[in-house]
Amino acid sequence: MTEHKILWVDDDPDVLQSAERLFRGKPWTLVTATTAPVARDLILRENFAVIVADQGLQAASGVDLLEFAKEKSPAASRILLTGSVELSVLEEAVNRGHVFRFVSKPWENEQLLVDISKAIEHHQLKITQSSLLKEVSSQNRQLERLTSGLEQIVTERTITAEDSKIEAEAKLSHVRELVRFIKDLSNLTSAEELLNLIRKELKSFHELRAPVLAYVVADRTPVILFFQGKQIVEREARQMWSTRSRMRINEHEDRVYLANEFGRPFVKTLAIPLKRRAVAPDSSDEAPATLFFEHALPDDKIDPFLSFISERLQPLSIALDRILLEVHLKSTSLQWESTFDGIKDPIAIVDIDYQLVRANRHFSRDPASGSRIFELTCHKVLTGSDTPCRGCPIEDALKSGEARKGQIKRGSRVYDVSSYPIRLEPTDDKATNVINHYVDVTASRELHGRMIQSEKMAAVGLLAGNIAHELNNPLTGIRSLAQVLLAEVPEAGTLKDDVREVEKAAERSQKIIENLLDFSKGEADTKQMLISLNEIVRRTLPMIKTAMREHRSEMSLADDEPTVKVEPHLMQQVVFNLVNNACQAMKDPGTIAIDTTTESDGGGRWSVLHVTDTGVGIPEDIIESIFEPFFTTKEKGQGTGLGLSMSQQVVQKFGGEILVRSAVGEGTRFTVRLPVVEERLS
Amino acid sequence: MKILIVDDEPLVRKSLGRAFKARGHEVSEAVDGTEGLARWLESTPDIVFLDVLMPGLSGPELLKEVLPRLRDWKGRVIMMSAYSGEHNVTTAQQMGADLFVPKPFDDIFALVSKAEELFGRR
Repeated sequence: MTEHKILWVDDDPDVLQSAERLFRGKPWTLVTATTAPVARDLILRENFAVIVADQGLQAASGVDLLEFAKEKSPAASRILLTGSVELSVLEEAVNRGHVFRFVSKPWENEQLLVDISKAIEHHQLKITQSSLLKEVSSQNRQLERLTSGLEQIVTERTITAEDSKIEAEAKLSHVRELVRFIKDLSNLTSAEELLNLIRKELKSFHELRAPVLAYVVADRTPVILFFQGKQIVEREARQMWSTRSRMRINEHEDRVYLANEFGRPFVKTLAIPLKRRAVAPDSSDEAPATLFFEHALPDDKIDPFLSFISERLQPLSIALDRILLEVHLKSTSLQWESTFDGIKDPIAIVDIDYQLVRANRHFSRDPASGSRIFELTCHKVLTGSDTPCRGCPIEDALKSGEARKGQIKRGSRVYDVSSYPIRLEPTDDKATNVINHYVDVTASRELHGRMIQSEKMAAVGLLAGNIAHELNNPLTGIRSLAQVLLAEVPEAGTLKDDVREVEKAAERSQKIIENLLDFSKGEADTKQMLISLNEIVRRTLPMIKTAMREHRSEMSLADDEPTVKVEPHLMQQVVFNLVNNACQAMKDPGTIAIDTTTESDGGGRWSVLHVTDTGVGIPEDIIESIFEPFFTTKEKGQGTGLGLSMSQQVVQKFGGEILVRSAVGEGTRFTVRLPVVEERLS
Repeated sequence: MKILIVDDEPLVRKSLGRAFKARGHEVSEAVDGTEGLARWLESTPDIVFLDVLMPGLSGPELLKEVLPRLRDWKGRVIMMSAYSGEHNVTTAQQMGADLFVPKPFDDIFALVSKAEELFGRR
């Protein structure tokens, strides 16, 4: 690395000496001057990173010198040393000298070193900027220069052609055509268009056949582009053509090449090499793009053609270069785009403000629309929400700089989210963006939930079965003994009634145990059977009496008992769920009404069960969701969010439906409708 | 007729016992399978009420033990169980019993009649 040069101008040798002491050991070269003329001379001859000038120089002020430096060496950062802080001096220094820093005398060593370092940084930045600028505009300038050169030729020729106006006009229009050609070139976006333009441009040479363009694309594949009738066809070249950089007329190797490529003889050929800077360096003799023509030009027309094409060669080459670069860039980014769009999981790149930088097609809620929605936040697009999704690990991932996992909900779907922090710019020292990958786990989660639920039921069933059987033994004794006693005690007195009560209670216990065993039975050994909803309700009630105990219950069962075809233990679970929900909806003691009726409509007869509570009611915005799996408003651990979804599935399985009507603050009514199925008399 | 009740549940023994005694039958009881075996061998009952699950010797084990020893015995065995899913008439008969009754009984006197009927058909 070259050392940065610093010029220090001061007429006081002591000051220069202390500056030298200060810079000792620093990676800078100090050049000093005591007078303005010497300093000017140095500025003209050498490149300085920083120029420090004292305001009080003899014969010229520091500001004057810095103004001179600004003109002659604009990249150097300028520092003015001054003893006084007069406003007028400062103003002048800023306006005329574009001073980077002021340093007042006497200076603080530490501060001065910081200022010098900053000035060098500033200088480097300027150099980088200007070289970048140069690079960016170099191609444009080349075209501009060409254009302006041509314009100049136009003017010059116009002057010299005063003698012959016709000749002048011909030349003028010739040059204008050239200018127009260059402009046309700049509007092209594909190699096909380029080939079309070349054909059009050469229309006047009747003896030329359609052009063939051979070039090498970014991955080094040789490609040829040619006319097939009016269509332009592009295909991989069968072999490499001669890439020598001079124009060739009727050369054997070109004839052989074209004959091999197209499978027919070529008699006379023209090969016009195009230099491609993006592929071959300037110095190289190779021209990886070549324009071929088959022709029947008479000898006297070859020269005019060559001069015609020569004038257009450089702009053609530049245009081809630009087009191929653009095509390559486009295809590369298209490859990535289709890669992402091909992935079925939503993927998005977002910044620290949750703004979308990129997203694939499956990220937006309507994958068919394909519209890209940037400058919006990811949560807005994904869920329509104005705040980040609950459970999204983006923030955590950005903070920690490590991949994080989370889980979010999008409507009724559940997604596992992985956030991978990334740096979009290699110069960033920490993560600036996050790649979010979403995996829909709704189905597997539901399955898992159901598995747990059915495992729970199985465990409860086993337990209930054991307890029921254990109870059966003493119950046998109680009931049987009561029956024996009933036969033995005298009719008179209250004893007989009492014993009868015992017998009845034992009988009831026996029923409860039977129901419990039925209820907890696994699905495996159950069958659909004809049973009335009334019977289902009667069988279920003993099991939820505890929950209902705080509330008043009103039971009204239909007089007739039409049968429905169901698996009784599943329907019992439905009734159990509905009544249990009703109880939980009432924080204060309320009324729970259970009633059954029979309805008839066009679809036949329905057996209907209503479970009505006077609880808090269900808000309108969530009533749509209550049958969704895992939707729960209960405290964690209180509910699985599966009760209603399972109930709905069960009811639908038996051809019925489950409906809900609710008013906030008044209560909720669930209605179960099942088709009546009468036993057929054989 | 002579009744033997083998059951570890005292109330079952008591209720069955009283129901049969009330009908004038002779009743003896055993609190488990081991005692059941001894009583059975010494008293040669006409009807044996046999519970399935008992401490010590279970009902089926007791049957296996006792039947080969009493080849000329003409009595009948009624097997009882609270685990109704476990056994039924068929499995009970395979083990050498004549009847299977799930617990709890709906009507103890109906059971007594059944036993008398069984004894009559002997």
